[in-house]
Amino acid sequence: MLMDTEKLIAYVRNQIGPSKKIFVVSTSKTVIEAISRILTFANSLAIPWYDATHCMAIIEQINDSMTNREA
Amino acid sequence: MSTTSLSFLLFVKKNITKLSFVILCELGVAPINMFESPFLPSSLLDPIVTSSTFLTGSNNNQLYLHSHPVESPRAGLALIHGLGEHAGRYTSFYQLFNKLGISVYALDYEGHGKTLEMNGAKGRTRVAVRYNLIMNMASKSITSLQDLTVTLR
Repeated sequence: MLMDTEKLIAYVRNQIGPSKKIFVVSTSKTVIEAISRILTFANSLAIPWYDATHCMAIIEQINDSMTNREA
Repeated sequence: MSTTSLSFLLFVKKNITKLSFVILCELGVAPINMFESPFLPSSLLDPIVTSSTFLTGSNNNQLYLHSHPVESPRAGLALIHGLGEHAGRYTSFYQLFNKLGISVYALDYEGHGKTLEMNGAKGRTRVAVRYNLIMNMASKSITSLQDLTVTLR
């Protein structure tokens, strides 16, 4: 699964270009912990997404992250 | 949103303090008019536009790819679903990220969702094979350490 995830992230990188940030979000705690360890891609950030109450917070976090980057 | 669904959601909202993500995810597979959710601003949600393709996985297997690109993306988001679910459950939420200018991509992993449907292969079988490989590797590792050697009777 992790190798497939690496392929997915590589695909996303290819789609959006080298300079854009990639957010890796998972609804699985186990997965996100594993991803955080292997995530060596530049401009990437792993974010856990465990429940609905967390959803808007994640959107805000991502938006803030992009805003800071673009500022 | 149907009256029944709305009543159900209000019931859930009233009876539990912290909504589980699963409940909201079920909205994602509901008809488009259900996006008039009390939990999400309807102005953020447009009719779902989905394009799907396949990505070749690590075993040269074809994995179903949920693709929600936007023009000139500010960033990309890769969503990794958990065990026993699939990425299609989160379709309605992808639009929120699209609204932020984020292209979203998600796989249905081996043995899950449309990858399982399209390949016609029981994911559990492959998982079992991998489990055996892992156990074999682990047992070799353990038997190399005398202190951890266990004799089964």
